[in-house]
Amino acid sequence: MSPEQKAHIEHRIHEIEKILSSGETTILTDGAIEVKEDKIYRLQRHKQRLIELEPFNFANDLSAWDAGKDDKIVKGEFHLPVGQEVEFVFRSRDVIHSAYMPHFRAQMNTVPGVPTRFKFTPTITTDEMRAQQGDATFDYILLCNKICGAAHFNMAIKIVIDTPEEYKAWLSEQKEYITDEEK
Amino acid sequence: MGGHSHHQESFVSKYIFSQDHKMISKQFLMTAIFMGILAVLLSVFFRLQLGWPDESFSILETFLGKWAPGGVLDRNAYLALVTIHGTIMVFFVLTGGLSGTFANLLIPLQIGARDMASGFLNMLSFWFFLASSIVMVCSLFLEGGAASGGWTIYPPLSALPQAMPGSGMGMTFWLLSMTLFIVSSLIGGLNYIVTIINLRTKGMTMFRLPLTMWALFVTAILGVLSFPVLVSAVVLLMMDRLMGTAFFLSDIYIGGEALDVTGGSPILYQHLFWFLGHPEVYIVLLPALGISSEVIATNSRKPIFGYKAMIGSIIAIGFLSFIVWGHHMFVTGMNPFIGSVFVFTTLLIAIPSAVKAFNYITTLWKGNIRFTPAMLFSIGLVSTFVTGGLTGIILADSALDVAVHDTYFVVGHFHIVMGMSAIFGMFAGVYHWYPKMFGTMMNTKLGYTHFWLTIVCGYGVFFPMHFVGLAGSPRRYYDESQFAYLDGVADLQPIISVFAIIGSIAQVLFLFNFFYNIFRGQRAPENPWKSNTLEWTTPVEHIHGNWPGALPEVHRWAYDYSNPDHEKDFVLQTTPMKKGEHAH
Repeated sequence: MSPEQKAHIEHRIHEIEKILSSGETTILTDGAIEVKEDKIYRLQRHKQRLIELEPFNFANDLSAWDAGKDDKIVKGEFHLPVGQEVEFVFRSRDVIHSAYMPHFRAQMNTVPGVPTRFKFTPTITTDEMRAQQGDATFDYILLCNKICGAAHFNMAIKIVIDTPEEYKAWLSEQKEYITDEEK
Repeated sequence: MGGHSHHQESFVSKYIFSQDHKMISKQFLMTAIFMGILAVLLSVFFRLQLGWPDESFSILETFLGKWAPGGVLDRNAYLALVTIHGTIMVFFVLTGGLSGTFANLLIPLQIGARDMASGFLNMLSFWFFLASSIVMVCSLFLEGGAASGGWTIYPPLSALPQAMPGSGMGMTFWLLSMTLFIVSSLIGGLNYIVTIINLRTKGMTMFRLPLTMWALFVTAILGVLSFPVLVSAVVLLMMDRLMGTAFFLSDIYIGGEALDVTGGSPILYQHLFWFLGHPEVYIVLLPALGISSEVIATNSRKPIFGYKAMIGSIIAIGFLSFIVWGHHMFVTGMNPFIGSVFVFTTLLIAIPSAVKAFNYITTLWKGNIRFTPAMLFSIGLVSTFVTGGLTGIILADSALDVAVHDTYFVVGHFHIVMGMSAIFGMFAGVYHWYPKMFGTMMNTKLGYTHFWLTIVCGYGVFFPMHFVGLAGSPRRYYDESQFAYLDGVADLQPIISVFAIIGSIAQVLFLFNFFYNIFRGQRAPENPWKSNTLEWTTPVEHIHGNWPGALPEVHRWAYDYSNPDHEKDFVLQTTPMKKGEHAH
């Protein structure tokens, strides 16, 4: 992460904070304050992520900023490319959960305040697995495996293992975490 | 103190505020039986839900009222049930109940002492235990329900009263109850240690102690060293809950709102908890192993095989239990290198455990075995100890644990290795020392029926859980039936529930046998099992000070069975050595 990028993010945060703290000159609705606070939170997370990415040696044409640009928000299911090592970095915002992926024999707790990591390489796409199992409805799954409240038992998300092409297509359709406006 | 034996006592001083170790032992046992019935009942309730998640059961509404509207179990109530079931079983039945009953009954009797070092502290230990039991039972009747974060009550779930209904007052009660329980356990443990070290009768050297004494001695040491760590965790958690500290909390957002907590770590709590939690496993297990050593040697009519190796393995297990706690935390983001250290120390426990298992088998080998109900339960313990121990090797390996951590595989493992083993040890102890406790005999046929139903149902419940777990069923799920990938093992859940219900009903046989024979049982002879140890030289009717005259003097070890130098196949520890006879 270059010093300019860091200064830029900090400047953005500072600007929003200034708006928030100048209660006398600017009157904001509760909703607007919430949106601004959320923005600060996201920018800080983004900064944190860029700092964490620093040790990774990206190809020259890919700046750390661009590496952060493919942050996506996904809901309901998420996709991974087959044959490529994926590293999960887990965080939690409330209590301890555990990302349990029984088909991959993989599991890692998500701990508020303590990022955790896990790596694996998917080797069989969802379609191949469906053919192997003779079950057209087969799906990989990620579930919560640490007691987290009354809804613990149905906290789950579908994992889809794609070919690299399918994956790219899927990725480009997803909403970005940091919007252009925030940059 | 011998002079006390005949003086008149009021009902209150004899049965309620008693300072006599034998009465306190019965008080512990009665409390543990009550708590045990409660915990079994709770498990039947949640087994009904797990076995048939789509059905409704009017029995649930009868017992649980608003927690099971229309006979369908509430999701929060389900979590409270599993939490309180675990807590009661681990702490109140298998720690307080098992150690409290048999340490109190046997320590003074087997070492030849008039009573515990401090009768008053002993009484206090029971009353703290009772108070903590009452608080725990009361927590079931709270508005928001009992604690429901699992028996390990990991923060932040347990630290944030707003996180779920069970994290409110129920959790406060849980923590209060546990604090009282630990006080009880510490007072009791110190008393046991001091008594065994200081009050052994003449000739009772440490290496003439029965193995029950060694097991209870090491158990008490484990408790005294590890429970204070849980107190510290409980106190810190209380402060996080009530005083706004952040020992276990950091970066938390509830409903989009950032809490004013930074810098703490939920993982710290897990370290503190499991630093107690793992020795706790052996606090539960060692007394059961000690009891079974005694019962197996007596009923095989053979000296225990490898007496000193058994002592060594008890001490080794006790020591190792303090350096393995990390194996409960392999998937918390722990550095894999530290994980591998814990793998190594955990696998080391297999060695002393195997020593014990082989020594039981070699003691049984070519023995003149008498299958009393106590003996059957002890052999059952050897079976469950081996079965459960083998899956322990799998879970000890961090790479394998990642796949099955927090699944039914773990539930099956620990219920067999520490649940069934410890409760079998407890049953063995009750069947074996019942004549000493109540002066009457239990019915043997009922005992046999109880044993066979219990072991078959026990395995019926917990063995299939290994397959359910390997298929990837997470534990503590309210409904396992909604995931397609678990369809292959879906049929096992109702089977497990059926076994659980039959096994629970089978315990009525024990309860009937136990309570009926207190009043109507055949009068026990002084030494019904033809055993060597000192407790069988005391009169059947309990007296203060245990022995009417002088304290007995010990001349030999506790396992002189079938000694060719003697006519009878047992030689009391008080029998002087013959000329030319060699000590073991």
